[in-house]
Amino acid sequence: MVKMTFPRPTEGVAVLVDLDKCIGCRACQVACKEWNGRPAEETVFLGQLTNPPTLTANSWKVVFFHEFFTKYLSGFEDPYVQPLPYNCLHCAEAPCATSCPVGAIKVTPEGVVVIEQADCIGCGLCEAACPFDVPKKGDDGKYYKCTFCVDRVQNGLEPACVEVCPTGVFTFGSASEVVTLARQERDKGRVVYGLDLDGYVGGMTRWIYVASKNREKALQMHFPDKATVSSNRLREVLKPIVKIGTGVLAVALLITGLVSWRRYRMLSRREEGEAE
Amino acid sequence: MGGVKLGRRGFLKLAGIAIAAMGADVARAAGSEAPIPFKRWKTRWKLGEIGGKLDLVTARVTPGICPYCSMGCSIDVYTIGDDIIYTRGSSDSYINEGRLCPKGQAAFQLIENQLRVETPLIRTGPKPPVEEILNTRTWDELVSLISRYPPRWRAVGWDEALEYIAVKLRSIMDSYRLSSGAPRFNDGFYYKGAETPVQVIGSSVMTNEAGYLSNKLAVFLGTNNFDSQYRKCHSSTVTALALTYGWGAETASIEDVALADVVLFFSNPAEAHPLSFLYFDMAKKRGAIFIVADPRFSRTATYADLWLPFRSGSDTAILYYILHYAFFERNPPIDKLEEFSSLMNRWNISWDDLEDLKAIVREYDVQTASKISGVPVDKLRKAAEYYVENSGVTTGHRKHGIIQWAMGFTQHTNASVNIIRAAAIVQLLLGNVGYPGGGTHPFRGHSNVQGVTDVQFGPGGLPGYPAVPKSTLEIRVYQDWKLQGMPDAWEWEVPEWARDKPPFNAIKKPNKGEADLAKALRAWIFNGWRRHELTWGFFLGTIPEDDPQNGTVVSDIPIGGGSTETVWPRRALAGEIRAAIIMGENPAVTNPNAKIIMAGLASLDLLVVGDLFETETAWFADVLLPAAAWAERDGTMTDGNRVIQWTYKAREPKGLARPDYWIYAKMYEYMRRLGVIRLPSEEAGVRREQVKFRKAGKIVLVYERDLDFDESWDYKGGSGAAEQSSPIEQEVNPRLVTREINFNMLIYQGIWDPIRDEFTPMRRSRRLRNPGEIDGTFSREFRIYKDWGWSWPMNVRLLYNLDSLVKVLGREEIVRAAGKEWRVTGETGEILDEFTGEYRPFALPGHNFYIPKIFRRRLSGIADLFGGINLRKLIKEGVVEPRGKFVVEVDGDVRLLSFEDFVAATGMKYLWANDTVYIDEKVQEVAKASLKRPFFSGSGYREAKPKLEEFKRDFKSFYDETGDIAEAVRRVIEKHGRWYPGYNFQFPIHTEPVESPSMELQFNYPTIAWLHPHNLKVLFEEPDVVKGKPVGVAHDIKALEGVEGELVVLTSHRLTETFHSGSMSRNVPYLAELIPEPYAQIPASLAEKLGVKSGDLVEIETARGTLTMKALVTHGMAYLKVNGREVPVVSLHWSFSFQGMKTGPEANYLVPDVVDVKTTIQESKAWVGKIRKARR
Repeated sequence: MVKMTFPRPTEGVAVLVDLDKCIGCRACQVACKEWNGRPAEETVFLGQLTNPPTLTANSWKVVFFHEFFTKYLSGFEDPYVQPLPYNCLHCAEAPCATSCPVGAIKVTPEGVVVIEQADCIGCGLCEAACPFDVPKKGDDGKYYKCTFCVDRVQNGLEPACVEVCPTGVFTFGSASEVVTLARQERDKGRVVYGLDLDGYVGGMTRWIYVASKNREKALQMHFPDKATVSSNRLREVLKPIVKIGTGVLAVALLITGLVSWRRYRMLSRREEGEAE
Repeated sequence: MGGVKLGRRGFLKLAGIAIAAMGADVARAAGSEAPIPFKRWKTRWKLGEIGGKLDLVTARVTPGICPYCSMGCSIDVYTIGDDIIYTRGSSDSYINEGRLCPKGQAAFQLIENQLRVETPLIRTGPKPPVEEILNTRTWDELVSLISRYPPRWRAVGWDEALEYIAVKLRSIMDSYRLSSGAPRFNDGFYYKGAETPVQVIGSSVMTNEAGYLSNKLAVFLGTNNFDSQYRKCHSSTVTALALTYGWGAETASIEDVALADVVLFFSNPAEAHPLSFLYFDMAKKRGAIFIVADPRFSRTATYADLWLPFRSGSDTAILYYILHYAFFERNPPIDKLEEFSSLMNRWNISWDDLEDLKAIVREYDVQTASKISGVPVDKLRKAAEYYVENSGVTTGHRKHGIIQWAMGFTQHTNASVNIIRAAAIVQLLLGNVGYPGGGTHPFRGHSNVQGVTDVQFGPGGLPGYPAVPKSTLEIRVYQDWKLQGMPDAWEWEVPEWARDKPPFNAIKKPNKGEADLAKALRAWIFNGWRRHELTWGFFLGTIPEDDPQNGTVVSDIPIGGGSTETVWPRRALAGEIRAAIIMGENPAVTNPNAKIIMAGLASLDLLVVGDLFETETAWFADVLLPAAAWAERDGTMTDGNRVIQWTYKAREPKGLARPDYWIYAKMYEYMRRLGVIRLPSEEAGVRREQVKFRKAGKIVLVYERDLDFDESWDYKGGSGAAEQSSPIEQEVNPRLVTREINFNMLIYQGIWDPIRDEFTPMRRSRRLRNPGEIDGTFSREFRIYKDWGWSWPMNVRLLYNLDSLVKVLGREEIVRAAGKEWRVTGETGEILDEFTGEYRPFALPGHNFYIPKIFRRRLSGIADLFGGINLRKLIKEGVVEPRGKFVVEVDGDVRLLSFEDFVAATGMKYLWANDTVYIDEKVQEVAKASLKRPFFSGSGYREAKPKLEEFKRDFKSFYDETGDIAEAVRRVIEKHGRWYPGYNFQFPIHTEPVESPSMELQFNYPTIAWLHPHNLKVLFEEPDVVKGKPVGVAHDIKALEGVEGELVVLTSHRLTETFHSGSMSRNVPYLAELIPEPYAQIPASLAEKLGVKSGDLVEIETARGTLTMKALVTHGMAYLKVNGREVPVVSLHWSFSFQGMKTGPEANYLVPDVVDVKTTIQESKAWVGKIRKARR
């Protein structure tokens, strides 16, 4: 088991995602692939614009489209489609990192959560631990997800998706600034997702979403009610004991983890079946 | 060279943006301690480590202009050798500031693409049979038929391919010349442009240099059957705006939209032009109101304050209701406002004319507009209120509104005469044209569609827009104009013998010293012809030169019109067109009525296609030529708002691919050598022109000009700024073409500064100018980047800006330039000064409509254009070699001065650089907008109304008698002499699409289509080969009565991730992943009726056949009440077809090929069909 020290949530970097500015062009989705050298994947039209329909090992950023009715500024109640660019939210205390049995998930001083494929054993505990459906297994059996463009951020560049965005949806900056900005927007009556979350993710994520009230539905449709994974609760309970650090307990934890992972997999397979 | 110079600087800018934002937090070591003992714990990554881009720091950086839409975004291409390792938006570009859309970000995949054609190919297989193509009833049937006839390519070298083309074309041209006698006719030597059986199709993704050469080649081939993609996207915009304002272009630069207070979107720029939202977002931040009129909830609607889903084709009714509100609902009405009268001084219109317009507008009250458009009354009213109350005329120019549009406006049978004219008129009346944050913003779809329109206008036009001669009389009058010393409109005397004949009888002020709009435009056309003679080294006039009335007419420019992109396929099927050269375009997918275009292509004796990929059009080709991609060639590109930028070559073309300009120049070489091209002047034995002036009753020989047209095609060499940079450029140097364009086209005069040897499109400065400089206050106050690239005309960025400094800022400006002070009230633009060689303000005190189509010329009557210097020498070597003399009258005595003596006497040392063009008060008097503009013979609305009512009654009763629309149309035309008798369409009215969902509306507002002979061909099933085949129109919805399914209004759309025919998006893996298949967007209530869920297959059947597509079910699609009945609108995504990496059903299979009555753009956006759930 991995003993993690996370940077404080107000240290390191963060991004504010302003949905009001998003035109859903998906330049971010392409720029992510381009910078990270990920190949295009075979897709089909599934009756929605979102494609691929989930994050994948080759698509670390996907723009989702959520349709609902809302009131426009002109006062008319009309249909609306809100694009929502989505990638790993980089939890303040990433449960994936703590759940990784081999320490393949690194957290940098910037607070960036990176899966190091060289170390990854493909066990899937990170996927099971993630409340946001982010890490995805690649054809090589290893897990992949957004790295926050760590190789850009650490070398003085904004993440590729941030840089490319035509309308400046993403504000990249120090976490303290971004959190302050998000709070200010919330005080103005806008809706925020990413602050004041469950302790399971460290209370907040480093990708924070803000939207006007009449777009709130998109956040509700997209994000889970609680940023936690119930099947992982046992592990959470065991955590303090693990910290004492007996080998036996570590093994027990691993087994528990594997069981819960299997259960999660069965659960998600059933869900997939229902979806089809 | 620019590209190299920019190289290293680009990379440095890559770094250092973000680090500051992170502050000191990074330094803390939290998380960096190794949580697992003895295990390597990685916390640092090198730049590019994750995506395999570690060698980024050593790469060369070259800026290219994005090949997709018309925003003109700059892309930095990082290369090592010829390998592209990374691309990103150029951070120095004001247009995209380092950002890109998904297409721009994926554009590199066009270059290193497995599917690229890399060598010339010659067909060995048979072509699909024409009748069988026309007979298919479903898309699948068509695909299975044509896939049985693959081209079976044989790879060849360039020499063999070019010779093959020339040999085949010679036999076609020779047999035409033999049978017709061309180019020798009773009244002279010329080609009849429409009859030459060759169609040349340009492209909108070429550079200006390539597009210009395609037009040059067509002219040399003797054909006016010549067109480009612009026909199918914005021809109606170009014509409607040009005839109203003077120029068929977007009226302002993109950065200007940031100053808008209300935007009325009739298209979908968030998807088609994503980077425009960089600036629309700034407007939004300032509180601008966005109204999005679109039957589809597009991604533009994500910014909407008001979404107006409406029935496609009812745009005029909506625009007119806005005016109805302004004239009849608001208090006070706009024509009672003081500012209205002030604006009116700038329009060619009287108060009585205005009453005529108001008589029409009165009819479009909110109920009527709602009935026609299907938009609820309260929404219409809100839209009108938003728009009118935030416009210039109502706010004293504190606020302005923009109307923005694209294909939703343009692709209708009544687009130019009604829809776009209505938009242009709304903007004039509301005081929104020529002011910051106002204007009309038609967004162009291709990277260089504005430029290619400028350099190859299509049949009936020459580069730079002057019309081709329509008759030998025009050439005689032209020769007389030359004898008068190439005068401007005021110095020109229309000869007595031509004054009563068209087109000269339209000139109401034919005498010397006076001019009207018609005369000014004619002088501009003649000036254009002269520029062509001088730069192309050929001849247009009479022999002998001093007898224009009786001499023999010789014209190396083909006379008359020709066929456009949309009408030529039926001419090919009729056997009138035998060969086509199509470069960088894929009409098999982009033309309407796929069967007609595919059958037309298959019927040709020779089809030459040049492209990156083996497109659907190439499937029918005899020869396929490999073209260079966007980062593989140098040249200029004109973005949608007329800003011309240089695009640099980042690498050499793949395989044997060659830039388009190279291909055209080589084609000329082979066609000339093998006898395909024979000029009329050659046949007439004219080897040189004697340039003569008639002065003080005497004929004076000014100089002799050798006809050296072959040399005009020799683009080898080049020095100074035109230094070539590769072996390909040593054969054909595009920079020499750019220099030639500078002298060939008045509107592009300034693209090269011959005094400083500077290509102005290479300017990349984001400096805002300072007050006191030319357009300093304008640039500074309205944040317009005048030193980035160069803009036509004369670097003007905001068209028709006569007085915005006074009206908006409340002050004039004094500009110091070229050693003088100039009083300025608007944007003046700049021109080289003939005295000092420095830049001076051009249009004083600002520039009005039609400028510089209307201009004055100091050398009128004195010297040939550019003083008659040897232009070829200046273009190739940068050397000024005086050739012509200067004819001056001193005390009634005519004297010939040398260049040196003339300069010594006048001080006009640099007269060869600007041709002494200038603007004065006389020009400003004539330069008014044509708010009233007759398009047909007949009278104004009030006078024509009884006749119109009779016409409608007849139409209805003939139909009731016969039960057949075609027969009713035939009888109406027989009885009245024409369709829509009596009305001249000087102001727009709403007319229905050919295929209307309501016959009641069709009889109340009959389609305008039957005013055009091509549409009558469609109506009457011509030529014979199409008779009885499913390629016609459902002009009567009865035609669909027996068809299963729900009746819907159909339209089509494109998406952010796709591009037109799709060859540039379906073949790009990153884009194909996002949109892998086409789909039909269907309103949820309709889907419920049909029992269809998102992702299910639906069948759509029209008079052209049936297509099966997947459905996207959404509430974001119009489900309307039109004329009391429920009318769902369904939109088909159209960028797919049968070739390439991703394929799918082609929406244009279903689109009728009826066309706009003025410009022949197809009616893709409003047609009808039945929709049902697919059985399979």
